[in-house]
Amino acid sequence: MAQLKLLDPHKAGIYGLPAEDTTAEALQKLLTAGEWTNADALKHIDAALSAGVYQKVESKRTGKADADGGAKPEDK
Amino acid sequence: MSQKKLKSIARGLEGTAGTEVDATYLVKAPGTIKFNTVIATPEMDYATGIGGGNVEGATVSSDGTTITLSDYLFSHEDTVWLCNHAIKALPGAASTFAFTFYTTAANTLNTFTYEVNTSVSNASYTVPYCFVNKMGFKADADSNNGNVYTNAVIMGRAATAKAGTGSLGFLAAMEHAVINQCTLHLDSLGTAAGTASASASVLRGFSFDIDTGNKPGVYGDGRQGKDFSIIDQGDYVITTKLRLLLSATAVTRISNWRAGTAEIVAVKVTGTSSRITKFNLPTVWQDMTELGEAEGNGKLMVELTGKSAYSRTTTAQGPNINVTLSGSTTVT
Repeated sequence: MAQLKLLDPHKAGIYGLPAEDTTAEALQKLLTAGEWTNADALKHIDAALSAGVYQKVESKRTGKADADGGAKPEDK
Repeated sequence: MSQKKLKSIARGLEGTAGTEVDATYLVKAPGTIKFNTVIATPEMDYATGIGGGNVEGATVSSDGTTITLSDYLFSHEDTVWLCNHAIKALPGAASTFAFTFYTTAANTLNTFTYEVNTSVSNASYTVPYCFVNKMGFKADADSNNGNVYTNAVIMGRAATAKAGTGSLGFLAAMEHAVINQCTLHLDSLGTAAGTASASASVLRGFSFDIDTGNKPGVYGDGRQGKDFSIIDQGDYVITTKLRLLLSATAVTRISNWRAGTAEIVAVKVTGTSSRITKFNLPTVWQDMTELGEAEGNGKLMVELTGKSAYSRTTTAQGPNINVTLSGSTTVT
C-alpha cells in the first residue's frame, strides 16, 4: 500500500484530493467512484505527486511489519 | 494578362549560406512577398533651400525580403524541409529527423533560395539566404474539416527580379494529415515525451505557434549589400494550445495549470508507411478559456494555452519536432 504524506493542502484542493495523509489506493478509489477510469485516475494521482501535493512515504522494513503495515526497528 | 494570385513559390537548399541556387521544388502553399526596403531621403529631411524638400537624393539604407506562407496543408515531407531552415540543419540522407531546439549552443541552420513567381514579366523574384522566422502547426476538428495546417514567415536577403527555375515539381510522396490521425500523450516531467498511452477521444484541436528566434543580423562586416550578413539566433518562443473535451484529462490539465505544474505534451501525427511527426513539447500551462465558454460538436470544451521549452528534470527533455518519413530522404 503506497502511503502518501500530505505536503500542500492548497494544492490538494486544486486537484480535488483530500488535504490529509492518505494512500494511493484511497485516491484511486475516490476518483473512480466519480466515474473516472482507472487509467485517468492513476494519471491524475501521478500529476498531483509531480505537483508536490503529497510525498510518497517509503516504508523501512528491517524486521517484522507491525499491524499497520509499517516496519519498526527490531527490539534488542 | 496578370493573374490575381502568385504563380508559384519554389525553393532550393543552398550549399553555402547566401550563395544563390536554383530552386528544386515547388512549395504547395499560398503566399505573399514583401520587400523590406528602407530608403533615406536627405533632400526632403534636411533644410536644402527648397520648401518641402526635393525628391532626389534618396539612398537605400537597408533591404531584405519577407515571404509569408499562409495556412497550407501540412505534410510530413514539407515539415522536414521547413525545419531545416527553422530549427536545425538535418539534410539527410535519413528517414528520421530529430529537430531539437537549441539549448546551450545555437544549432547550425540550413538556408534556402526562394523563388516567388508571377506570370508578369520582370515580376518574379529570387531571394537568397532564406530562413524561417516564425512557423505554426495546427488542426481543429471544428475548422477546415480537421485538416492539419502549417504556416511560416520566411526572411531572406534582398530580392532580385529574375525568372524562376522552370519545370519544377513537388516534393515526392507528400502525405497530408487530419486531426483523426493525431494522438495526445501527456507525461510528468522526467519522463520521455510520448511515453504515456494516448489520451483517447479528448483532443479536439491543437496549435503550436513558434517564434524561432531567428532574425536578420546586420553587422559591420564590410559588405556593400544593404541586407543582413548573418542570421542572429535568439531565444525561441513556443506557444502551445490544446483544445480538449471537458473530461478527466482536461481536469488534470486544469489542475496542473492552477498548481503551476509543468508537464510533457506530445502530439503525434501518424501517417502511412511509417510516416510520423511528433511534436514533443515540455509545457507549462498559463491560461485557459472560461469554463462554459468553449464548445464543440455540442459538448463543452476547454482550451489551454501554455509555453513550451526545455525540461531539466531528469530525464531531461528538450522541445523537438521529430519526423519519420516513408523512406530515406535527402533535403535539396
